[in-house]
Amino acid sequence: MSSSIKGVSPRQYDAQPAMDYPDYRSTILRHPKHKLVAVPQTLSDVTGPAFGDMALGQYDSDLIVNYAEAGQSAIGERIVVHGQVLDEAARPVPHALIEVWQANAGGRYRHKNDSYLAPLDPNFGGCGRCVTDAEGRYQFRTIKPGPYPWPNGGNDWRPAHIHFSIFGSGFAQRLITQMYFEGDPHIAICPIVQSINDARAVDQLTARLDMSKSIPMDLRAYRFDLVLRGPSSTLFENKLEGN
Amino acid sequence: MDPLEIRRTRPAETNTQNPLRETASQTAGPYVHIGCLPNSVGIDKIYDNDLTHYGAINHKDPITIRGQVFDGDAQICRDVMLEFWQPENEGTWRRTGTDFETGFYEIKTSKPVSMRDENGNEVAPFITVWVTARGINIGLVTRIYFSQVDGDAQLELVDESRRHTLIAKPLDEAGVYQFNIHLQGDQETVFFDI
Ligand SMILES: [Fe+2]
Repeated sequence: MSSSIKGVSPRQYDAQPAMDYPDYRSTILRHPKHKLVAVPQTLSDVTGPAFGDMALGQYDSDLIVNYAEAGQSAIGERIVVHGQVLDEAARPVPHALIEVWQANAGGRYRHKNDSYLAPLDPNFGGCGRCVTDAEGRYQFRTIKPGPYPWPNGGNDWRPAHIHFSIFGSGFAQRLITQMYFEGDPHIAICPIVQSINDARAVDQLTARLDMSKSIPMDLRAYRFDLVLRGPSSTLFENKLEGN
Repeated sequence: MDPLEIRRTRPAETNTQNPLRETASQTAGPYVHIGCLPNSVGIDKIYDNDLTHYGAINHKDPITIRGQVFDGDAQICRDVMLEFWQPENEGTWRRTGTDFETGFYEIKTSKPVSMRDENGNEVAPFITVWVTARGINIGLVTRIYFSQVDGDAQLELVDESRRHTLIAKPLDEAGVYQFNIHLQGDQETVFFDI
């Protein structure tokens, strides 16, 4: 178990998506209508599972080959996605488990509920994971996912994106989000993105082409940094009863 | 209701001492299993096993919790991912999806113990639950309480008429509890701003 003696700073909801955003149709019946109830934090919020030492497979962070037949690789634009996980106090978050998933280069997910016309790529599974190093840095290799249409009542297409799941050291830092690609014109017209009413927060979800980490004749790099909730000024003692 | 009212759940407390802002959440979408439970959707060549457990699997005080998740039309949600966390001992974490056909989830864990909050007050035992799915833009936090909740300082903050949504219901089978989650509607579950 990872543990911190500090509390987690209050979540800043003005930089978060609206829970009720009718342009993203699925939120209509899936958002709570009551206000969230603010309660003092407990040990359960400032601790969380520690996956920093978990045994990862050799190719867990290489989506180009982790589902491919020997000697083959996924079809698509070869990229490496890298960045740093920080907290709001700008401190690196080491040993954080990051899980990613995405559509293939044609915009098709390997999932029984996805019936989009674009074909599956027999060499692409669509998931990967890694753990941040001592400086909070991570990277994985993949192919650039394709945009895809989705049922939302109209002619809706998602920008190309990679889904991210991140564990901080406290469960209150738990985050699932999506990474977009610099220059994608779908970002501005996607209701899922636009449920965030804050241009700076959307910009923070947009990965930048990073030629400094690109490998000639091999792949291009995109940089995507993540920020988890930071420390609050409230110190408290972590004590369990009967333990 | 003004949507901003939903967001501003905390009083004037600010976060200005920190230079960066938390990355915005986005929905886990309908295909969250690919990333978090890939073996459960047939992607079985990448990880040996899905990551569903952290901490003890054998428990002194074992319990089973099962239930379903409902939307505002009382329809069963079959694409939900749930995580459960309790910090006692080395901590116990569980992850599961609701069944694609029945919508049921089920976890085995141990009965939680009480702990103190940041003000030093003892709080009733609970399990923290994190709910994500298509249509949920930011993961929802709720808690499973059992009994001994009378006079709990944290539950006092919850409308009395809604507290029952947080209490697991014992089923006939010993050690088995039902905990349904209503994202919206008459029975809307209490969700917390932690
Ligand atoms: Fe997606």
